[in-house]
Parts: sequence; structure tokens; C-alpha cells
Amino acid sequence: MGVGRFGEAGEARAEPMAVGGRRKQMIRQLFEQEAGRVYQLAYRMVGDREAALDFTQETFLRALRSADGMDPTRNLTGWLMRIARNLCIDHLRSRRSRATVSLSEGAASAEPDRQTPAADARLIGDERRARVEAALARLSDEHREMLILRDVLDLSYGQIAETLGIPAGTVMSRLHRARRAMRNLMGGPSDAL
Amino acid sequence: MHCEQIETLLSGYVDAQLTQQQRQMVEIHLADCPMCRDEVKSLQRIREDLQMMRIPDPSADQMDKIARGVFERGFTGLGWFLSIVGAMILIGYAVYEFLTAPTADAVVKVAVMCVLAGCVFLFGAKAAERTREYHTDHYKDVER
Repeated sequence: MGVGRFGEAGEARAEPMAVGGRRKQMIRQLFEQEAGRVYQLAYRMVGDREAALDFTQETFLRALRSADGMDPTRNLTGWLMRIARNLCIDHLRSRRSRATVSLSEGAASAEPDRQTPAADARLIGDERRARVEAALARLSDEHREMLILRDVLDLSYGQIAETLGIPAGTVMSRLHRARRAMRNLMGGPSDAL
Repeated sequence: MHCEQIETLLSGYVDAQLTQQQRQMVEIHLADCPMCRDEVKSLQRIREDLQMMRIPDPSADQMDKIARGVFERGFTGLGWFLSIVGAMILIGYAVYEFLTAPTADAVVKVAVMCVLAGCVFLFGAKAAERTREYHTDHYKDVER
């Protein structure tokens, strides 16, 4: 059920069908394929494992409610990730009444005793991991979002485009800029090699 | 082809997301450019670093709990629906019997009617509130 089971080419697409009675089956299939990835995304956004479980459930509930009008020829993983992302962003905005919310902003502000990304990195005691987490936190929202969607969640460029609602052609250039920014924060090319 | 022209394609090369033509262009350039080869290695390292930021997936029990919360909610809804319909039929029948009974006091009949009317108004207000919530739901317009 985890990310590892999806593989690089984990494109979830439904066969064209009359959704109505089979929509639950279709969303259940999507759940089997993508629940782990939705959980990872929610965790990176809200910064708390328990909350990430709740948001995973809420994402699939909303997907189930929206399934009647969905276009099965579109990228369903991207569609699902967009629902999860919007849900988490809305939650963070309402929680803190702030205009700008990013993928790990929630993690940065979560209570210290919770299982946040930074706390997880410290607990594991992995220096490299802690450095990566710190560098991620210093990236711009746009760059951080790209890196999480591609490198942490392993979404394809098409899925990222669907998630963010941007042209597929924009993904590669934006991702490249994000990786270069990340490398600079990690200490430059020599350190990264 | 110059490094500047190939630079943006390097991330796509690392991710195996290029067209065959783009990939061939990059490989021809990389064969003669040690700087861009280093850049590719650097990008791969960044990707590996970020891949290790995944946390363990939820346990099977947690996933089962989520699945039940999503896919078995329909049965809960059906249960509520049937219970409410049954209760309404019973209440309607009891009220009819009460109002048409010759032994009941007229004042009591009026009082019971007032209570029932109050319940109907409260139910209507709640339904209107839910309708308003639906119309302001941010997610009902989520692009499908």
C-alpha cells in the first residue's frame, strides 16, 4: 500500500466506464494504489502523522463524492493529489489564518512533541537527513513543493502538472531550478557529489 | 550544443522523463562535457537525498481503519436513512391516532401540534444550514 509499490510508472488510470455504480470500486482501486502517497503528501504538508492519517481518509472521502463527474481519461493520481493538497492547504490556512502556506510550513510550526519531519530527522540521528530537512525548510515554497512531489512522492511529470494545475512543459524547468537551489543550500556541487 | 542549452534537460534526463530525441541530445553532449556529467551526478545525489525523506507507510491496521472510514460510511448513511424514515412513519401514525381520538383534550392536541411544528421548523433550519454549507464548500468545484 506504500509508495514503494507504485513504481516509477505508477500512473493510476481508470478504464472508461459508466462511473455511477462502479465509482466506489474505482476509488477503492485508487486507494489501494495511492493511499501511501496521499499519506506522505499530507505528512509533508501538515507535519503530523496522526493528522496525516485523518487527511488521507478525508481525501478519499472527497474523491468518492466527486467521482460521479470525474474524467477517467485524465490522470487520476494527479487529480487525487490535487484534492489532498487543496484539503491540507485549506486546513493550514484556516488553522493559522495566514495567506501563504507551503508543503512543509505546517511541519515547521507544529508542536515540538509531535512527529514532525524535523523531529523525525533528529530522532533518527541521521546528520545527512537532518541537513536535507533543514535545506528543504529554507527553500522557497515553489521549489520545496516541486522537490517533494517529484523526489519524495515519486510523481511523474504529468502527475505533478495535474496536481499543481500547471503545463507539463513547465515542470522540468521548475524542477531543475528547485534542485539547483537545493544543492546550493546543501553546500554546493562538491558536497553533493 | 552548449551547456546552457542542455542544462534544463538534465533534470529530465535524471528522471528518465525525456523524449528519445532529447535523451540522445543529452547523451551526445555528456560524452564530451565533464562539467555536465558532474551536474548529472549532483542532481542524482539530490534526488537520492530527498528519496530518503519518506516516512514509513501507515500500518496495515491503520490503512484498514481508513478504508473502513471511507468505504463503509455508505452503510452508516443507509442505516440512518432507514431509521429516520421508520421513525417518521411511526410518529406520523401516532399523531394521527392521537388527533382523531375522541377522548383526547383539545388543549393537549394543540400543544402536541405546536411541539411537532417546532420540530419541523428546527429540521428545516438545519437543512437550510446544510444547504448553505454545501454551496460554500471549497471542494465541490475541485477540478475532476
